[in-house]
Order: sequence, then structure tokens, then C-alpha cells
Amino acid sequence: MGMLLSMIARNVKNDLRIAVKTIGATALVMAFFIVYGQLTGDPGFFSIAWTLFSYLVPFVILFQFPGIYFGIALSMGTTRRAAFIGLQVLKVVVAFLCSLLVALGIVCNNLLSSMPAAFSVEGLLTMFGYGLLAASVGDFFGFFSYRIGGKLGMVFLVAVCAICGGIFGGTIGVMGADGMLPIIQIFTMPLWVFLLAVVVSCVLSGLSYWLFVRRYAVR
Amino acid sequence: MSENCLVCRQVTKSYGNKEVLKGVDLTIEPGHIYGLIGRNGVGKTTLLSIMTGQNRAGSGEITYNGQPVWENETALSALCFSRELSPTILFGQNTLKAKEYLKSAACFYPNWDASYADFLIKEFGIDKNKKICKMNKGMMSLVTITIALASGAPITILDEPVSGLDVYMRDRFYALLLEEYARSNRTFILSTHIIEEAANVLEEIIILNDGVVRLKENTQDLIDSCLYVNGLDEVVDRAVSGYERLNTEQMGRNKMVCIRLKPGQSFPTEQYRGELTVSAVPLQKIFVYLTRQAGEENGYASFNDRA
Repeated sequence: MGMLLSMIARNVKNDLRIAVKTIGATALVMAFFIVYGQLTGDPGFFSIAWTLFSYLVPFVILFQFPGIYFGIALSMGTTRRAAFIGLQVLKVVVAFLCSLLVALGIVCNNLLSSMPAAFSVEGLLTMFGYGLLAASVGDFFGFFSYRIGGKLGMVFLVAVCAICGGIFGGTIGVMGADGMLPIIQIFTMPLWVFLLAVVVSCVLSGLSYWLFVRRYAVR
Repeated sequence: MSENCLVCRQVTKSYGNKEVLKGVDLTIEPGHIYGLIGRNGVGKTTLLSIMTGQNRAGSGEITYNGQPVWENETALSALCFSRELSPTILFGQNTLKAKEYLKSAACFYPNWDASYADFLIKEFGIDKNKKICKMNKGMMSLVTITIALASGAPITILDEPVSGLDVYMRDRFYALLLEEYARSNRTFILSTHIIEEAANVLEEIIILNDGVVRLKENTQDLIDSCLYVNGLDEVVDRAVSGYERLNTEQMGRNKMVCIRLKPGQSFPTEQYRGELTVSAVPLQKIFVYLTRQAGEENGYASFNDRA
């Protein structure tokens, strides 16, 4: 048991080191979304959507890299379960810390600014849930692109982003504000339903990830 | 008996319809330098990756210290398989800089010796800021050697460690390997095609052929057991009758036969003094003779032999 915990800790450390490498890229993405959101000038839903994107996309990017470099861990004497559990632990920790940072930002804003922002424990949990969800998408994408291979993997990721973006943009383009209804409903659903959905999604994504890696032969 | 031993029992592995390993039985004992040799595509890398839990066997059992290796944290912590880096792969470790790859190694190997790694990097002239995919083959080999030697793993496996290295660096590597071996008494397994050079380093030779371990023997004993017997056709035939023949080469009325002595057997060299020439067989030639497939007994096919 002690050996497993030590190996999990080594995986968390290595994954974190790899994830931190992408901090520049994720900061750039965040900046892009925030600036773009501000430039579009719509004070309503779109600014919320862009803010959400600026929070979610970095998680996807951040956790894509430990997935891409999964093979290195296995080639250096770690077990599949330790690598898998390590990544799951890191996802929970990073999602929690990020939501905590956002919360701290809001608290600071409320203390210093004359325009207090709304803040609640529910909001904190929602941020945590979104972070976890996006991180799961990230590590799954990362490992999937690793399995497919370098250039093909990149093409795969670009294709997924293009399809998702196309569906998102196309729906809004065709249906206008009505197209956003399903997304708006996510914001209005009860917290427990949302968190349950997050847990189910994470378990399913984790399970599929595990099915990929449990017998994976290192190349 | 099995303390700190890495044991393979009846290990098989197939890729599609191709059966690569057909029941490998092998015991790696602590405190030796082993050489795993075999022809291209015989399954050396597959066997090594199975032995280190990086690939799953079709059937059979691999144990370290009596415990299965697969998904066993204790066993895997004692093993290091420094894989050959390929310049054609553009994902995984190849996209990393050398320093990042080494940082991962430092993170995962519990006995990692950072100061030794720094010494090796300096000694080999590795540019730590260079991406692995941008390195030449020799430099890639030096990175894998650095990881293997600095890992401190009780059983360390190097896959083709000298491929792409020039003569000087190969010599340097063998010297460093022996130095580390003398210092730590770790077990090393080297998979290599440059057999003659490595013969002075390898204590035991393991020949993998046709999906099984064809031979596992002390290198010097193996070299001592093989002899070239050269002389007139009829004298050679008379002299080598009763011995295992590995190869026969006919040159006019002369014949050169490679024989292999069984344990306890000896060749009466003195009896044939003046009639026959008896000489040692290079390890590389022994390997060639022992790994010939059906139809290759009469030597290499020639373009002139075509129908």
C-alpha cells in the first residue's frame, strides 16, 4: 500500500510538472477569451459564456499533456493504476484549487470594489464541477491523441474542436438566442443535478480512459 | 533461490497471427551483466518490455523476487528498462527536451542518482535544452544510457544502447558500465547487435531464436566450447566425428568445421598437430551459426545461385 501511495505521489508530481509547462499557453487562451469576450461588447449571456470558456478551456489544455505523456510514466517503472489514480487525484486537486482561487478573487473584489460580485458556496462547487469536467475531457483527449499518434493526434484534436465549435456556433447562428437554451439550462439546473451529472460524466470518462490504459503496451 | 531474481516461465506473445515468443523460460540472477542477442524481429524488445511490465504476455508468468511483475509497484520499482529512442516517432518523450525527459526519470526512479546523471550528461556532451526528436541517433542513445545508469535500479535493461554511437563513445559506454557494475553490483541486461565488442563486457549470453531462449551460457565458457578445425577434408571429418557441428565450409580439398564441445568434452589438439589447425571461434560467428533458420545451413544465399 505504501509503495502504491509513493508511486501515486510520484505520478502526481510528474503530471503537475508537465501540466505547469503549459501554463503560458493556458494563460494566453484565458487572455484571448477574456479580451474577446470584452470586445464583443455583449454584456449579457455572451460575456458569461466567454468567461466560462476562459475558465474551462485551460483545464482541457492543462490535462491534455499528462495524457499525451502517459507512456513516459509507464516506461519508467510505474504501474498503470498508479498513473491513472495519480492523474485523477491531480484533476480533483487542481479543479478545487482553481475554484478556490476564483472564489478568493471574488472575495477580494467584494472587499475592494464598489461593485460586489455575487458569490456563494454553490458557485464554488459549480466552478469545481466545471473544472473537473473539463479536466476529464482534457486527459481523455490527451491520451486518445497519444494512442492515435503525433500528427494524426493533432489532426484529431483540431477536428474535435472544429466540430464542437461548429455545432456551437452553427446552432447560435441558425437559432439565435434560442440555440443557447440548453446551455442556459445548465446554469439554471439545481446544483445537485449538476454535480451528479459531473460525477457521472467523470466516472464515465475515467472508465473509458482506464479501459484504454489498463492493458496498454508502451511503445 | 528466487531472491532478487527476475524469472520468466513459459512466456508467449503474439501479434495478430504471428507468434513472436513461443514459451520463453529465463532466469535473470542478481549481480551479472547479461547480453540478450537475437536476429532482427526475433522479439528481444517484446520480451524485455514484458519482463518489465510494459507489455502484457499472451501467457506465462514473469516474477521478481517471487512476485508477479505485472502491476506490482514493488517489483517495478526495482526494474529499469531504458527504451531505445526512435527518431521517426514524433510523440511522447520525443517531443520533450532532454532535460524534461531526465526530470521525469528523476521523478519516477526511487534510486535516481542526480549527481551521477549530471556527470554523465557532461561526459557525453548532451545538450539538455535540445528536443529529443531533434537529436541524432547517437545522442538519443546517450540519453537512454544516462537514464539507465543513473536510475540506480537493481535490474537495469538497455535496449540497443550503442546503436548510432561511434567507436569512441561505445568504448566509453562499456567502461562506464563496468565501472558502475563494479561500484553497485547491479544487474544489467544489454540487448545488442554489436556482439564482438560487447563480448568482453557480457558475463552471460542469452540467445533468443525462433521465439525461445536457444542458449544461456557464460560468455567465456561458450567461446571456449567452440572451435574451428581446419585441414584436409578426410582428416577433418575423422577428427570431428562425435562432436556437434555448428558449421562446415569447404574450400577445395580443405575443410573448416566449427564444432561445439559438450560439457566435459575436449578436443585432442595434440593428436592432430601438424595435420589440423585448431583455433577459437569469434562470438559473432557462434551467434550466426546458432541462429540460422531452416534452409540457411549451407551459408548465405548468393545472387549467383538464382535459378
